[in-house]
Amino acid sequence: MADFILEVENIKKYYGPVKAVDGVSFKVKQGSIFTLLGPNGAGKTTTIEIIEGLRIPDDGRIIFMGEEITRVGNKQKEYIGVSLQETNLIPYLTVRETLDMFRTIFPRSLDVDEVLRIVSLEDKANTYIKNLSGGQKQRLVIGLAMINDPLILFLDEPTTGLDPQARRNTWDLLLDLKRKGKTIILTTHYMEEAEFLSDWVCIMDRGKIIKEGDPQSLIRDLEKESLIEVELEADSVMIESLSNAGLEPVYDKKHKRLLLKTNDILATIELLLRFSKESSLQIKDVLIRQPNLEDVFLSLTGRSLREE
Amino acid sequence: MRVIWKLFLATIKTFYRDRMTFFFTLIFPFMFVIIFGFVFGIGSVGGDNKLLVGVLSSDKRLLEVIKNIDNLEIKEFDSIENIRRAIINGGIDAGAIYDGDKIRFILNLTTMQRNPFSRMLGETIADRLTKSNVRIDKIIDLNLNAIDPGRVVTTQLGYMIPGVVAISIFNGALFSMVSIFCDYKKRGILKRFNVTPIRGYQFIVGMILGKFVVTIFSATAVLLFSQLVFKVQFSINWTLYLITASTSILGMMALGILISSIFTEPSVAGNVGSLLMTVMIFFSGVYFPLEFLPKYLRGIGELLPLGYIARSIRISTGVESGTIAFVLNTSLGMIGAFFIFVLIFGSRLFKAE
Amino acid sequence: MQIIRLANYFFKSLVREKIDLFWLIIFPVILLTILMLIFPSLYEPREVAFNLTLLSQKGTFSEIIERVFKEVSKGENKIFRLSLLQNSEENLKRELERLKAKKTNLIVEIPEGFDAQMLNFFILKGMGVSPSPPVINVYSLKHDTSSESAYLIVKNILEKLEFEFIRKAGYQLRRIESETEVVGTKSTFSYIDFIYPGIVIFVIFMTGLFGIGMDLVWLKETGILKRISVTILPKSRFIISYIISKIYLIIIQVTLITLMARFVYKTTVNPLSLPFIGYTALTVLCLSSFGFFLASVSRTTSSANAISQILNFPLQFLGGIYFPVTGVPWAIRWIVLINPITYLASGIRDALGIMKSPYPFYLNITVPALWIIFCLLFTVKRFRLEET
Repeated sequence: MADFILEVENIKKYYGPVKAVDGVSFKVKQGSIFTLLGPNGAGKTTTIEIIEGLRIPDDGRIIFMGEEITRVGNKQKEYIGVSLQETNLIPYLTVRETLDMFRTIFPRSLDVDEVLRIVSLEDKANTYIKNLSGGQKQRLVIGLAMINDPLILFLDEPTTGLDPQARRNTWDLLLDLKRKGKTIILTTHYMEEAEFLSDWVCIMDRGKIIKEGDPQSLIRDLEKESLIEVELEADSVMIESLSNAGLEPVYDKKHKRLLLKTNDILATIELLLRFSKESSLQIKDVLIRQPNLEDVFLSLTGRSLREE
Repeated sequence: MRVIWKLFLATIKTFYRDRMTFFFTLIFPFMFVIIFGFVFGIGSVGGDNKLLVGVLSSDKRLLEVIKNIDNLEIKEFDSIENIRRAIINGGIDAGAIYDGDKIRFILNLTTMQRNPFSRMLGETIADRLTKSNVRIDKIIDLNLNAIDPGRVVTTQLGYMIPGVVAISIFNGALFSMVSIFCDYKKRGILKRFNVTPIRGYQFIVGMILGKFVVTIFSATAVLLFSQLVFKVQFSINWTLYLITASTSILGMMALGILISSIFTEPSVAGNVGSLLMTVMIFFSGVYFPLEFLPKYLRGIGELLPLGYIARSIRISTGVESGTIAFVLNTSLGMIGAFFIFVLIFGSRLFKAE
Repeated sequence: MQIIRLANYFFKSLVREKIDLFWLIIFPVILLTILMLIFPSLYEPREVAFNLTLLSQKGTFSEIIERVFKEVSKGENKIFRLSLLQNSEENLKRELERLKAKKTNLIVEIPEGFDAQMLNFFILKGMGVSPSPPVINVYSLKHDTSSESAYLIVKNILEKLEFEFIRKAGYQLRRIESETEVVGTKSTFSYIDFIYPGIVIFVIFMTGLFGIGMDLVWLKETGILKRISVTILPKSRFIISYIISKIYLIIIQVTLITLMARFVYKTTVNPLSLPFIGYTALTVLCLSSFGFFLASVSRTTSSANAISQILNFPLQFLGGIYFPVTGVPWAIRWIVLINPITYLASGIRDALGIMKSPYPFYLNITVPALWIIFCLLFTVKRFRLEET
């Protein structure tokens, strides 16, 4: 078995003038959790759907389990499990019936009861889909992705819309699956999710991968130990002055947040306070924290990952 | 095969578990029977082919004359006002009043609707009265033999019910395809199947088979239930009926597939289907006779499949006589359409973007 | 004014929903067109010719009959397409099959010995005896309007033929005329006059059911009503502006239909007359409150949809919008009697002098009024802006 279970080279997908995916390349190691991280509209779902066989790329190569393929067909589909962005199931079937129906499609599959156990839906086995809660539906969707005991799991935004507890439960489930040897390809716009779960992260924006690496090294590349997040109203003149003052500011205009990367918190705070007194800056809030992937994205694009 | 079976079962289960849709699919055709059958289709108050005419009891000669006209029955009234009121209320079909000079023949709209030529009866009555003045009642006796169009003797309502079954088939088949090809597509259910190694034909066959069974069950339930509730007689040739019903379902599914492929938004496709149904109800000749329409409108009627389906079902239930050739030709047309459309549009269902 | 501005926003959101626009504004126009294509022809058929088979005999009287039928079967305005055959057992049998197959609409069979019988009849009559008249057999197809119509026409023709025989026999006849009227209508029946108020009621009914009923349930289900209820906007103001937005719609609908009825189909009904305006206003009140009632009893759009579909057709058809509903069995009659549309439709037609109402005037007003009161009380009690 090749070390990389999936390789993607220079994939392109254009819709008229819109370059949804504009030359994306990455390699996925077997047994790892690989994440495509980016804001809505970055091209994550399009990329994933190309690999799932739902869309045909305009250009590029896909190497699936060591074999180069022009497009993903039924043979490859036997080895993948997919959880799509929208939960799209037949409302009047029960959980068990749904799992059973999909199970029959594959030549090899897990037992329905086993899947129910893995996703903790045993007591909902005879409930109609339409009566499930958001979290329960999401677990079922992951269960469906697993029903054929796939080698690769594709999970498109698996925890969107879930409450924090449900999200954590899902993360635990995914880590468990990784322990069982599954390769998981994840798309998300939640930075905590990418940080917590991933072995490798590709940051996508506007159809391209702008940076990739394991989460810790991406954060380390910011080259700063800490971040000071300041909520204030600033204009470009002010930013330039801050920069001249040696503060290395990154300003998120949309959310009115100033990010100061630093290795010396106290010194930077002192500098900031002095500067604010001198220029009568109106500081609303200050937060000192460790850097995260969100900051990586912000420093690369000047925009936030978050939806608002 | 197992896949097709599972999808088939899923479709059936969804049908009876969704109480609203279930109730609606079965009740809807009955509503049509009630509306068109009772209100519009059923014979006159006087019975099949007879009119109940109101006459003043003081008008002895008119009474005598009308008694001798074979397709009229009499009800006596004591005033003209009462006659008019009875016509308006629908208690009688018509009224005849002789004012010494001429006959005033009064109809209501329903009687005119049932047969627009009924107004000629006024002239007939006047002519008879004229003859009775010279004490000649009849010179020629017209002996009417009303022949049953089919093997069974049935009422107007019984004659209409196959048309209702046709509507039920049209409804069930067309909208079931809109559901699969439009609604499921929009909701992402098709996509969910598309990421599995399921083959296109397995999905289509499984789903269509399920909807097919559901539709034929509903249509047949309507047929048998109507027989019971409205006490009508059918002489069902089950082989012919099953051939007709099956192929008509497939044919109407083809229409549904066509509409869904043109109008991909589910609500739009649904509305186009409803519009088509309205046009079919009016122009197919099932509820309103086409013969009196201007030629170009009759032409439209002849293009619409509903008329052929209704006629085939009437033939197979013994209510109308016709050749097996007609039924088989209609069936072949339906199957042909089905295979063409499924082949063209079915493959598009699972095409990658 | 805030209320008007809100009303405008509601109206704009409706107009942008193209599907609703189609069903509420354009479909009634299509419906009117279809009805005007079919029904006037139904009541006054033109260019119809029926297929008639005449199985004849040799003889003077038979030949007279033949001649008469040939006469009405030629020329542009012919009534029959005549098929003339010698009367025989096989011919009759074959024609009966053709009758069942609708290839011919009516068979007139002059039996053997007819001429002799006719002669006999006149001789005996002249002697003062009253013999039974000779028989001509007619075969028609049951449940077939063409066949039944052809029969009525043949009957009519033969009556006239008898006049000829009578005159030839030397009797003096003073022909009594006849006049046919459709009860309760003006001198000539006009279908457009009949259907125009019906379509007006139809559009208001559609707006009530779908434009108000379904719409409110949808607003409730999507949480928009909840959104509004947590603002400082008083509920009454919301309701008033909502209603005003629907009135805009109704005005557009009724105007469109009226323009069509007036200028395309030349109705003689005056939409600016007091009866018309009065009944239309009553209809708006009644069927709108019905919409509110529907919104109060349905929790989801799918249940509202199901209920509307079930109510839609029966209330329309059994309310007498398209044709009068008379002589229905008891099982159906109660639906007709509690249906407010029944009274609105007959009331407006009576008031306009189009057709007399089978129900007394006070019922035509009070039953809809009772519905208004019932629906509004129910709504006030049950309708919540959000699901608790």
